[in-house]
Amino acid sequence: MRERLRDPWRLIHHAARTVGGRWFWLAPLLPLLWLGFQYISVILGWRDTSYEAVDAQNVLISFPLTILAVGLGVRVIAGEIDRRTLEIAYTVPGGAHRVWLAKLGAIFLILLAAEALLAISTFVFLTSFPWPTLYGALQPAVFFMVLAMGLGALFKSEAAGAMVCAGVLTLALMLSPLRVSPFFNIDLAADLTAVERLGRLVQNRIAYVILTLAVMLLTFGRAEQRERLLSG
Amino acid sequence: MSNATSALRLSGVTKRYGDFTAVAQLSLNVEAGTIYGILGPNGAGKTTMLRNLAGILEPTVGAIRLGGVRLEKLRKYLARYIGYLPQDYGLPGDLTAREYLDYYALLYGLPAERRNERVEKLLQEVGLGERANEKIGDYSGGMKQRVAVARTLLRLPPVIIVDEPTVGLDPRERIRFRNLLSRLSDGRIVLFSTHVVEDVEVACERVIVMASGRIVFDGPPAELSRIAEGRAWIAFLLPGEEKDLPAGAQIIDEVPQAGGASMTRILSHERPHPDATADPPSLQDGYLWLVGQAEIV
Repeated sequence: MRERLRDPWRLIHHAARTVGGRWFWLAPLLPLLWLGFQYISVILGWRDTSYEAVDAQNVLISFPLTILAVGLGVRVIAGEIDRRTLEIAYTVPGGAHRVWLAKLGAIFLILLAAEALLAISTFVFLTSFPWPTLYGALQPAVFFMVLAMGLGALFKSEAAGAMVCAGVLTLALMLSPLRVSPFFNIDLAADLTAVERLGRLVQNRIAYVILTLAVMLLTFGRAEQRERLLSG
Repeated sequence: MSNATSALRLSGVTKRYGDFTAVAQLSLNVEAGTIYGILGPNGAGKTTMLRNLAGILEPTVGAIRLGGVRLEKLRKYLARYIGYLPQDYGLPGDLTAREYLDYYALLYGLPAERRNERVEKLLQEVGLGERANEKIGDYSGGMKQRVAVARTLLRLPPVIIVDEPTVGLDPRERIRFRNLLSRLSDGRIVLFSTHVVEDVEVACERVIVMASGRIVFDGPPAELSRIAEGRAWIAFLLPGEEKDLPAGAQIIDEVPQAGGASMTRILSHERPHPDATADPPSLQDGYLWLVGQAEIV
């Protein structure tokens, strides 16, 4: 088992270095800056109220996690375009998507580590929260990681992809009480019956699994438009 | 795929981008154990041809066969057969050479039991064994290029394609790189494109000249020189005399002389000046003459 996992692990480790640089292992610590700021604002009384369980999903965990996901996700393909390494990725047997998947795997693990740190810090310093909050917080991060990758490939640039992604992210945050948003938080839909809430939650979660996979496949398709991506 | 069956053949390859035809009707037979130099001005279609040969792009029309098998059928496993070093061989500056080669060895599906040995051997072969644990970002241009070459060799492919490898290298690194290509060519096909005629003159057994998306010459370098036979002239021209040269004459070189004249090397199908003397043609003369004629047509 250990032998079988060694190669994928090495691949993901190298992929993490190409996406996050030499200090990629510090990346999970970055979202804690946001949490630290929130903690200070509570201690110094800049906020009228302290944080509650309902804030844990989006405000405390998901928002900084998603920012990190966008920052790393946009580098998956657009990073290769910007650094002019894309043509090398096309030489990989089986297809360039193997490179993208290795990088996505690496980013996913970074996000998991970051979420664990955020969750522990939130629990210790700010508020307790139910377990499903962790899935709700990870969903938009994973979706925006894939979307950022797609927009980076679409606009052939990390910077352009990140800017457009920031716009979509703002919109999604504004719509967070609605089930169309990746940030959908069941605790914000308090006026619904228990059955309605569960129904909307399941719809949202299933829809975003499908949507994330669809964006990923479309992006892989876009990355195979080699003439376009290699020109200019 | 053994070297005996590794001949590369292009038949009527055309690549179009919308209405623009980048290369047209390319036909070529490439044999193992030979270094091919591809010369051509900017926009001649060299990179497009090499990308098609490397399986990065697919021809719009025509076929490319490696050992008799169409390249499309090998596309999923192409790294085993073709090592490709593009013009932009950007490398991740945060990885060391050893890590980079290990990364691509994993992606290229090199079996675990051979991977470390292959990576170490290649690092020695390209002269980076001592500095393999330093970040690629700290390497010189020549060293980066050698890392990139080592990547192309990971699967020991019978065909190596290199696009403008000597651009930006200092003369010492250029010579070192040419020697590396010569060593690699043993039993392999090596194709490399360049603007530098001297690289072809020194390193290649065959030369292909491209102009306006077509192959206008394919043969040994000496034969290319002979194309300019009787067309290379030396004349001492006074200022203003250039405009009196015959139509189609190309000035190749001008060296200012005392008294205001300049010693001018001219390619022309007829004596370009009453005092001009014929000069033995060089490879560069043959190349420039061919390209000049192709552009006139």
